[in-house]
Amino acid sequence: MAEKDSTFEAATRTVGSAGDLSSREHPSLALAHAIVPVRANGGFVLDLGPASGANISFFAERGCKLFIADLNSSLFGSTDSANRAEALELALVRDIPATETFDLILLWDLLDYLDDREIRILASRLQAVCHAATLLYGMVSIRKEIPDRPSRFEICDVRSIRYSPGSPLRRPAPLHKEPELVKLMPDFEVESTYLLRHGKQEYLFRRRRAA
Amino acid sequence: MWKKNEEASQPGPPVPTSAARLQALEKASVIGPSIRIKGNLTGKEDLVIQGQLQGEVRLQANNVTVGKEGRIRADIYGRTVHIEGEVKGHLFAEQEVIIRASGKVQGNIVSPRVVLEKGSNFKGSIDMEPAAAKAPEASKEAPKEKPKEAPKQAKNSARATVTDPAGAPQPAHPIGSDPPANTKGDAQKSAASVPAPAPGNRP
Repeated sequence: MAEKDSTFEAATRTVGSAGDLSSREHPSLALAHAIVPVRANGGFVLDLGPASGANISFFAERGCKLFIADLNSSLFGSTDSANRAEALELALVRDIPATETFDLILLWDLLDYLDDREIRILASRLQAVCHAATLLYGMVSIRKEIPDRPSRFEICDVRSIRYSPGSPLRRPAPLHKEPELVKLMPDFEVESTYLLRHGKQEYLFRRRRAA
Repeated sequence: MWKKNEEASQPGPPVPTSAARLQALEKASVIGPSIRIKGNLTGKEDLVIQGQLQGEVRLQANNVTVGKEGRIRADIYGRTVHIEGEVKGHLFAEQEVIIRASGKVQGNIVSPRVVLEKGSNFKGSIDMEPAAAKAPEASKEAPKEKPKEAPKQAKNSARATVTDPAGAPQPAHPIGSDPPANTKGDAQKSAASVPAPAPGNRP
C-alpha cells in the first residue's frame, strides 16, 4: 500500500502553495471516453461545477458550447444541509434550461456531497436533459475522508484534471458503491467505471434504454 | 497560454491593453450609483454603469463596464463587456467579455474571447463562435442543431498541445483516436462498454 501511495505522489504535482487547499493534477481515465459524444461536430456540455477558464477553453477548442450551472454555489454557499434538497430542486429548475438536451454532463464529485434523496432528485432532473447518447461524468471517493466542500476541477488535457479542494476541512466520505448509485439513479446505467490510485473512482453513466 | 486569471479565448481582433482601457474609462460616460434606469440604452460612446439598470444596453461599437456597484437586469451588447458588479442577462461582445473577481453573472455569453477571473461567479452558457457574436439576435433565436453524423476526425489542431503533469509539453491525446487504455498505473476496474461474451460463444 505504501508503495502504491508513493507512485501516486509521483504521478501528481502540487500547484500553488503547499497546504490543504493546494491543487493537484491527477490522471483521468474516463475523461477521454467522456468526450467521445462531443468530439465529432462539437456538442453541448453541461457543467454542474463552477466556471473554469481551463474547461471553457478545453471545450471551445473542440467546438463545443458549454453551459455552466454551478450547483456548488447554489447548494454549498449559504444553504444549510437541512434545506439542501429544496435548494437543489430550485437550482435544477432555475439553472438548467429545460428545453435543451446535452451531449455530456459533468457531475465531477457532486455525488459525494448529496444524500440519497438529493441524488434521486438530481438524476430525475438530468434524465430530462439527456438524449440516448448523453454521458454523465462523475467521480466518487474511495477514501474515508473528503474535503468538506466539493472540489473545483480544471481539465488539463484528456488524461489529467487539476483538483482544488473546496475546503481545508475534511469530512467522512459516503463511499458510494456502484449498485447503490445505480439504485439511486434508476434512469441511468453505468457505461464504465475506472478506479484511480489517488482515491477516486470515475464513472460514466448513460441514460438507460427503454425496455 | 494562460494568464494568472482564467482565460478562454479564440483568435480574434486585438483587444485594448489595460493602459488604453484606463484611458478609455476616463473618457467614458458614467451612470452613477444612485441612478436607476428602466429602459433601453443606445449610443456611440463607452459607458460605465455603477447604478441599477433594467432593460437593454446596446453599444455594439463601444466598451461597456458594469462597475462594482452596478446591478443590471439587462442584455448587454458591446465591443467589450467588463463585469465587476452583478448582471442578470445575456452578454454579447464583438471582442471580449471579462468577468472580474467581484463580478457575478447569470446569463449567457456570446463572445470570441472570455476571461473569468478567479473568484468570479458565472452561471449560463458560453458560446465562443465568432459568427454568433456578430449576429447575437440570430443566434439567440436559431434552433439548436444536434450532431447527427457518426464521429469524424476531430478538429484538434496545434492549439490542442498541452502540458503534462510533469510540466513537459507534449501533444495531447489525439481527439479522434481511441483514449489511452491505462495511464500511470491506474487500474481500469471494469468497462461495461465491452460486452461480456454470450454463454454460447465462449471459446
